[in-house]
Amino acid sequence: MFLNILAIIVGMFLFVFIENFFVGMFSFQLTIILLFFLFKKVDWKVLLVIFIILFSISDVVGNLPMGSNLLMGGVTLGLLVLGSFFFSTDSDITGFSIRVFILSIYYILLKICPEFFIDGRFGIFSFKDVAFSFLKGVLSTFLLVLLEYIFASFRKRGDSSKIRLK
Amino acid sequence: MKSNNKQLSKEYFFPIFCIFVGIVFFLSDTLGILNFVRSGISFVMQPVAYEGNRIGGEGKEYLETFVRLNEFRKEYNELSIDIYQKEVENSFFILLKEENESLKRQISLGGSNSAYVMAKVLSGGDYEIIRINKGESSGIAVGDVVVWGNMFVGIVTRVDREGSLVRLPSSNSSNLEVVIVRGGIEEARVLDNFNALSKGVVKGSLDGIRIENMSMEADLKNGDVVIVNDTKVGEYLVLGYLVGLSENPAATSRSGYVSTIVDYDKLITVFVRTDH
Repeated sequence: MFLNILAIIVGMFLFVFIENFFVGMFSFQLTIILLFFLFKKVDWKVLLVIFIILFSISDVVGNLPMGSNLLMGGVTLGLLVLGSFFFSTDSDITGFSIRVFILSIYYILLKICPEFFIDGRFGIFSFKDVAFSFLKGVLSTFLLVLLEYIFASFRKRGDSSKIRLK
Repeated sequence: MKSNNKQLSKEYFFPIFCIFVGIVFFLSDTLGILNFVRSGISFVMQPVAYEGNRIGGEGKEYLETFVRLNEFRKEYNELSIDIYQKEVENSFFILLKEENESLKRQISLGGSNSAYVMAKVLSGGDYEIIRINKGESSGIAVGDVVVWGNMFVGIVTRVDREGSLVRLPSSNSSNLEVVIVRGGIEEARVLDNFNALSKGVVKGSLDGIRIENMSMEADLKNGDVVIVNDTKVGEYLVLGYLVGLSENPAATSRSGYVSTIVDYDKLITVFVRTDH
């Protein structure tokens, strides 16, 4: 138990460091990639607790009102769920394209919403920002696919759809 | 199967939970209820986030260097061209400044009624002669004296229409009578009744400008000023400083060398006295 708590605390520090390293280096948000990756793989209550903490840390570190990232993450994930009713999002090119599209929307939201949450006005937005958001969406999706590929090699046969965190 | 469907439906509500909790957090934080949580997270996580962001930023700069290598190369080429242009402009101003100083020096010789032609040195690489860009068309003739302020530069030995050759004192064909005085070089030309320490003859040699036939009795010292006092020159002009004075008591006369004040290699503007 003690080791688990210690691992969670150390893991959280490590994650915050890596997250901000990626933000500084590639302007990526690892949290959203992790959310997309763990969605449907981990029990939703555990997932909610984890991401309330991670997004709250992101908010405080980014000097945003708490709940901002959770809202944006929730909206983005909601779009993915909504998309999954109409298209196959599990694999193939359609799933990849939808993920690219939704992650691009997340990066667009990340660009315009913080200003809105602070001042009540949307931030300045140009075509260049859309292009960059799309690029980041593509790269994030590649990272997501890579993560899924790596974790697929750890899955047990017969229980390939679920990773259980106890 | 039924329980699985129930599980899936709850998962699909997960985004709604996120949005709901997000709104609650947002409102709470706006009202200041979550200030204590915020302070705690900020205290613990901000340094970690800062370090991660800083290292990431540095990594990005390195990556950008590679990505923008072509741009840097282009910029480097543009800067090189810009520097060359600046150097050209700068050298033009240096020439103007040098010319201005030369003119000021020449004008400062208030007592002189001579007529001068300003000329530029075309090549100063030769040890014995220099070429200037003015010739017969400017009124220059063979035998004219070339000066730089009150410094002796040489004598014109060959004249063409638009150029002349000037024989320097370092030439072995050059023989000039000189006097040695003690004092500053600026006053040397206007000294009408200066006290000459000794006379001598200056001639060019491989070792430098050699001065000979100086009196044994004269109180000469290294550093005394050597002034040209020759009929070919017609006025007192400073040649340089006495150096390497011989100390042989058995000799009938003393000799030494002249260290010229004017560096012939670096001469740019000179004046040719044309009132022959």
